[in-house]
Amino acid sequence: MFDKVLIANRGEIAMRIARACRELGIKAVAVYSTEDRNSSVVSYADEAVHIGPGPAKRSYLNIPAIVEAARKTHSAAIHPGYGFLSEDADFAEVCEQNGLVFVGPPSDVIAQLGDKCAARRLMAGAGLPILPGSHGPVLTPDEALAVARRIGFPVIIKAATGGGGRGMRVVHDESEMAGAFKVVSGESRAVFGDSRLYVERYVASARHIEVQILCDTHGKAVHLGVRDCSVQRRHQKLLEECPAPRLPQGVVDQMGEASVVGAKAAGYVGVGTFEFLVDETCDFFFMEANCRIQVEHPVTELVFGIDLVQEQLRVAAGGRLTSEQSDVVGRGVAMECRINVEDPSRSFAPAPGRIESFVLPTGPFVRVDTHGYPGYRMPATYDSLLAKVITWAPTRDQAIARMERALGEFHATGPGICTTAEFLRRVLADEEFRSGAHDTGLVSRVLGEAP
Amino acid sequence: MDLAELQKHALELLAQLERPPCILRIQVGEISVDITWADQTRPAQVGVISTAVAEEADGEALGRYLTSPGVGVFYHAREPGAEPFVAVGSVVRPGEQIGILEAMKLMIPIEADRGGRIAEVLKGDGEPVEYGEPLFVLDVEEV
Repeated sequence: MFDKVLIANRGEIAMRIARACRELGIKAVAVYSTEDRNSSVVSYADEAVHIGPGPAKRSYLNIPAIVEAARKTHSAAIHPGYGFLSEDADFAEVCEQNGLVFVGPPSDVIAQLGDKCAARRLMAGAGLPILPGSHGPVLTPDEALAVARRIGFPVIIKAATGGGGRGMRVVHDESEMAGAFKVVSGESRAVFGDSRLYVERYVASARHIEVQILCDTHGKAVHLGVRDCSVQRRHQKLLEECPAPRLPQGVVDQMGEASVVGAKAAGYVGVGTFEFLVDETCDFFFMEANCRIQVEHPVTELVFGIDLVQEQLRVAAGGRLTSEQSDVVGRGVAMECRINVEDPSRSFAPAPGRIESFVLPTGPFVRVDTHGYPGYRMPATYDSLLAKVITWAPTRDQAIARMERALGEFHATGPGICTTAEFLRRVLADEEFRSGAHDTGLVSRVLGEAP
Repeated sequence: MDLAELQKHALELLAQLERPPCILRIQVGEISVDITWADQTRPAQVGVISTAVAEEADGEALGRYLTSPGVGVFYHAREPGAEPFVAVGSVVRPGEQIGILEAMKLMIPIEADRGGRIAEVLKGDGEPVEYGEPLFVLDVEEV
């Protein structure tokens, strides 16, 4: 196992990784921007290195600064968390060249799966079902139109290197194509530095279900069931649960097996996620593979009793998976609510500021992952996730009741501070959600706004 | 500092305040910033803001240092055995090279963001440094 691991991230996930390190007896090194100099992980970690000013480009995305920080502290490995450099193939390669273990898949695997056109082709070749769409990137609005005519409207145009709910647009008919094409390719170039797009069928009433996989460096892979992430607003996940409600075990097994086949075809190493769209008839289609630990990983941890971040570190250090697929058994239901500092009454506009009073839910079967503390100033520079409240119970109804109780105990107040906690309680109270029959349109129906 | 730069720093400063003040007074020579809110009788003193490390606002202390612009290894001289760029007693002008930062095999010149006399050298030749870490103590008043 590693002696020392550098955490190239911030916020709650940096704390999550630091805690896994401590339990494994690994020294944790935090890196931080000027904006984060008073953050929890800076005081929690064994060492901390100031890598740059607030803007992420000069700190958390600054590859030379992070590599130098690893060198300065004699770290053996770098854990990238999620977001920032976690799925940056160049960063993984620089780590490899500098004798640092990148906690994640090899750089060529990240590059291949990060290109969604290439990933679609690879997975289709491995036998995974994919939605009808373009076979490679489409270069002009006319090409996109030709694909749309072949597969039928509505379609969705997506950035080949997109992610995080950005760089995509639904096109309902021919008249919308040219405009949508321009917008998505512009956004894609600006955000991801790559303007290649692809087209696939748009499924309006679908569920977003993902499979957690875990692979070691010796060719062994298992899956850890599914998470339902259908409670989304504009492709941003708000609430996740494990397992997916009303999804027959037979389908879960098929999705899991398909993901393991796909992971092996890609030469995957570490923890990863295969995202699928599941339609009303429980047919599933591969969407994309995520080469990182997910925000919503705790629901899987609670149901399967496996610490995914520790497993991630173990396999990165060359350890072998000891569990067989038949040993991986889930129990009960876990749910996660993402508490963001956003104002639902102002279209979820960020509402950061100084948190004066901060009370977290406790009690039976409640877990909270957060970097917040009373007096913490939530910066406006980074994302708005403040805390993840996770509950476990033997049944879904009990997990919902427990979550309602936990959210009722959560308080974060301060000048300008507003959170999504109350809004999430409205989602929990929704009949459609409670019945487990909801799809990705749920949040817009609760809000009464266009999806 | 020119007007555009001053304006930029003022806006950055305003963005960090919890609520808008009624008076913001900035003086550039011997940099000082006064902020007054409507319900306040005395102006609040905010830390000194230098041109290079405006966001630090860590109090007056940083105004006395020349700090590292990045993470890496700090070198005093162009090559081993050569004369150091500056030593105690050297008078530096803004923009003058005072050292080298090595980051991922790239040698990046470090320039002074303001002038003064080097009063103390805080980091050894070849020593690893972090972003914003003080490298030299600068005596501004003597110049």
